[in-house]
Amino acid sequence: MFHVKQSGMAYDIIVIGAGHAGCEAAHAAHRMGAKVALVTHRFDRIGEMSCNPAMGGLGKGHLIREVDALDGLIARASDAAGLQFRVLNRSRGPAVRGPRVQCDRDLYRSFMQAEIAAADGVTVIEGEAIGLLLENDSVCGIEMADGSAVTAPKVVLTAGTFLQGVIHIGDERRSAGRVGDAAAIPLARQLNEAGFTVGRLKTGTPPRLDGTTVAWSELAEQKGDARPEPLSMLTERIDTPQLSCFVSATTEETHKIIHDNLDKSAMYAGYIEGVGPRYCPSIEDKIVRFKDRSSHNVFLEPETRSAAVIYPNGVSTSLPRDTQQAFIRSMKGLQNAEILQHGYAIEYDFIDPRDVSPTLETKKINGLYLAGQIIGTTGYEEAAALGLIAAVNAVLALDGSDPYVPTRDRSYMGVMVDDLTRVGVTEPYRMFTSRAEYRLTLRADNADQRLSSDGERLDLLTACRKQAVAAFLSDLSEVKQQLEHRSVTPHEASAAGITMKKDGGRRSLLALLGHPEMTFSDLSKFGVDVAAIPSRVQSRLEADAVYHGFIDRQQREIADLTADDQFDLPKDLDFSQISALSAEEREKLARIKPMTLGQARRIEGVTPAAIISLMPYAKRSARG
Amino acid sequence: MTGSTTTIFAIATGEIAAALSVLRLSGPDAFAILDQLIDGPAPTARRASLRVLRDPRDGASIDEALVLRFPGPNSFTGEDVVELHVHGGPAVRQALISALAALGAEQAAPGAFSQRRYRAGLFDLSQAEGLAALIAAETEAQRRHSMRLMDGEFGRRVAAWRASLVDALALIEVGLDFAEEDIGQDVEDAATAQLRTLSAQLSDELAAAQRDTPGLATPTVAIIGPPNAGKSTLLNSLADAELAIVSDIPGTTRDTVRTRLTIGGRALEVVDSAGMRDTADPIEAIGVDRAQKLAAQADLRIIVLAIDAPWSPAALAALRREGDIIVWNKADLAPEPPAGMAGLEGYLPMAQGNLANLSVLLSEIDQRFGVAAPALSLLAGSDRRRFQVEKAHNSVIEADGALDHGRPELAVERLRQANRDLHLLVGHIDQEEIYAEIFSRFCIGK
Repeated sequence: MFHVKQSGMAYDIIVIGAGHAGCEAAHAAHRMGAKVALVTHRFDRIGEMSCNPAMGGLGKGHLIREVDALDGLIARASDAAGLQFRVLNRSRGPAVRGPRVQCDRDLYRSFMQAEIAAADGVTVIEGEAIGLLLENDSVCGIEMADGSAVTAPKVVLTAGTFLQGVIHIGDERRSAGRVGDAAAIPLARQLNEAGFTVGRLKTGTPPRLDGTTVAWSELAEQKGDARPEPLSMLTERIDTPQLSCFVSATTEETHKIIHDNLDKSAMYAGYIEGVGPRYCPSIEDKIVRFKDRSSHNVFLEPETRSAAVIYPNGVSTSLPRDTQQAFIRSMKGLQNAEILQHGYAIEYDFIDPRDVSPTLETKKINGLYLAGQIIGTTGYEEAAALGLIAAVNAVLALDGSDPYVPTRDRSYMGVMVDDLTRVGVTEPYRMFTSRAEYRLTLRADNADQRLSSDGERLDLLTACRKQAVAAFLSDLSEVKQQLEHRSVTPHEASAAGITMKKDGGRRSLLALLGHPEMTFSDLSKFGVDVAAIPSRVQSRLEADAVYHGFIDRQQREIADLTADDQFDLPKDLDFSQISALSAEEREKLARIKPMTLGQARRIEGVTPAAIISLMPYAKRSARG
Repeated sequence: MTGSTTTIFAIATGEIAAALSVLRLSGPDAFAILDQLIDGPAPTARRASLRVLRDPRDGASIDEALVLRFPGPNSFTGEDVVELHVHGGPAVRQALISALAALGAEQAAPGAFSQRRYRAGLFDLSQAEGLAALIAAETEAQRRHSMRLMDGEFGRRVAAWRASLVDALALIEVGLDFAEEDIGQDVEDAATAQLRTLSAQLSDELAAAQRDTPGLATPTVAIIGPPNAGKSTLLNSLADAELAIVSDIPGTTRDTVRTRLTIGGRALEVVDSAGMRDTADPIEAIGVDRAQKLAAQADLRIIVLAIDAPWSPAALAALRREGDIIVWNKADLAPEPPAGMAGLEGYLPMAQGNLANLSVLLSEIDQRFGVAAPALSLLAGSDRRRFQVEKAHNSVIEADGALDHGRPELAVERLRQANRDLHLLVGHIDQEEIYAEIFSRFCIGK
């Protein structure tokens, strides 16, 4: 799509930060043919999982599949690094199932670094970006700490928690972007001066434990799925052996230790002003807010295949080091556990997402795009999706092409962009399936159907992806047609053990699939060669069938609200008897005698409230 | 913030000849227009001040008026509002309207002030309906009912339903979006219990609306009795007008004759009817039939008897029910019913033209309706409100069923539909409300 570098500039796009937003941004811009500079402190920390080494889940798994549909990296990286694969809510409907992968953080990083290194359009620049170079209100490059300048007409800033980052452990405080990395202070100052609305958020992480000091045999095991489901559609199957997680729990003693030391927690001693996410509370928070609970589960998750480092999920904390040690050892199986790295809270600046437009370009500085935690989100998946959208729009803007703004009805990315830029945030923003009003259609399993055409149009897809998508979609439509064209009578159905209403006539096999008792393999009873149909096609058609009737009806209901013309008003309706109408409305309605609700609405001076009061009298038209 | 760019005006007191007329002006230019209309300084806010109004085009005085300024947002519409109390003649009103139009104000469409108040978020839709109903109220029951609406009682009830909907949604969503957390209770069972309670409340309310709707109608007072008892004369006396044809011929009134009267400050529909007797005349028979129906449905009956129009005790006993007023008419001919005529206890004597008798009857009627009007269902009297609640109720029932079938995500869709229905009743539901509920109640976050 875009191939010509703008004159006088070294790059088309500079991406600052190489976390999950930055990697997706740089790689997406590269796929679209742009010349990209990826600026990061150290190459060897590209693709770092700063917190929990897990990808996906509910809402988040949906986002990963959407990024994958646009040929992003995050799903393939997770498949390559996966230690344990589970689909959450597997027993529920397809719309609320979320794939989740426990990753080996070293493998994940290696995969990302290899992808970035292999992308010939991406140049990695190691160093600290300390400022934006501006020309009037437009960005034209960045200034590096070593005094050099890098120029490009577009800059995607994915600073994560690095802007004025401050780490808290008890009463210790130090400036940092995350453990082991410096904070970005001059950049934060410049953004402040540019007039952005800057707020403060916090997040936290638990202590990491030495896996060799955990008494595994005392703990309950949590296994992955027997048949692991990959995140990326390009991954045929997962062959690596699955690793288990283990479950411990806080005890009364844990609660007492934490309670007695609350005043030493950075959060509770009042050192932290930033707002933390409600859904990711520290263990201090949990104990204070849920006094009636005598125990909270703690999931021990391996960070690498060797299980040398353990992430105790559920005990994020900013208590002092010695208190962390004490409470960890008060839990089952952890009596002798050694801490490798202490838990901490981190506070950082974020820019009000209402300061960016839905393309993720800032409203104050032209050509500057923001993605990830810098605009108030939390989570790798949210960051990755935003990074991709920011880069796509930055590239499109290079030659003035129309922007790409995902919408709420077609993707979780659209839900997120709309929520952020329209409503803003009061706490770090995480995706939930309940944020999507079109949840039944925005499923994790059908992201490719929803977004592949966008990806193709935007030139985001590699040849190998295009081929895979085309093959799948053609299989899907072929089987679908086949099932639509074969029909059975109620009698044939009941002979095969499927009870359906006797009233109707023949029914297509596709319609039959929507029957609660039906599974795809039952179709073999009607002569379908099930074994010859790819399993992905089977599960897709099955999932579509679950909601088919419901979605139809719901869309009709919503359409009904707008399609007033399909509602007839009784010919003899006595408007003078409808008390909610004004005298003027009664008079006009009685004179004009509208035949439909739509006609009534178009009468001048008839208010929406009047239409609502006419609704009970309206009947759905036979014509409708 | 209302966002209105126009300034509107209307005569608040209507187009009637009266001592005073009140004109209201609302909008961004209300105060600027007032400045050009009055001599002297702008009055202090919310303080009545006397000012001469002048037509800005020629400086001619229009009237002397009491002027009030209500700066927004503390005004009826939330905008700057001006009230002009002028003298009530049509010429004054006309001159003022013409001056205001010349100053750029627009004549308000019906309901425009309420609409602005609604848009400013100063009241909800049901309160707006309450205001409209209050202005139209004729009866004590109607007045009380609309006052309760205006006061926001319905809005509060809907808010309680919504709270319970949000509660159920939070319970279901927490089970879906936080499946991995140890939530520590069976959230779907709790949601089901919540929905059943809500469903029962909605269905009670709908039943009450059905029951109470007649209570909001203007009451009917039926005048019934045998032919030639003087029923039509009585109606004419009550109405102080010749409404019904009066003659000495029994059976003169063939049809029911209705009139709307104000007695003791409340509106009543008073209906005269054909005298009840067996008749061979088919037209009279229709009238008698109508009288019977009227007698059965009326809120109050006045049974009229007279010496030359007596009734058998059996006929009276068959008709009689508690609360009836018995009038012994033509008391100038016979001051008392003949001895032995049973069932007339507590009768009121009435002599034609005797104003004392008439005022006793009027105060008797007044007393019958003087009992405090009961609190009626706030769904009564509005098809719109009832329709929306009915829809929400159906959605809640379907959601319950979806939960039963292990499809919580479909239950959520139905409950969101119920939210939209309640939204149309008063206000608006925010997904953030559900999260607030989830995070305050459940320990979320590994």
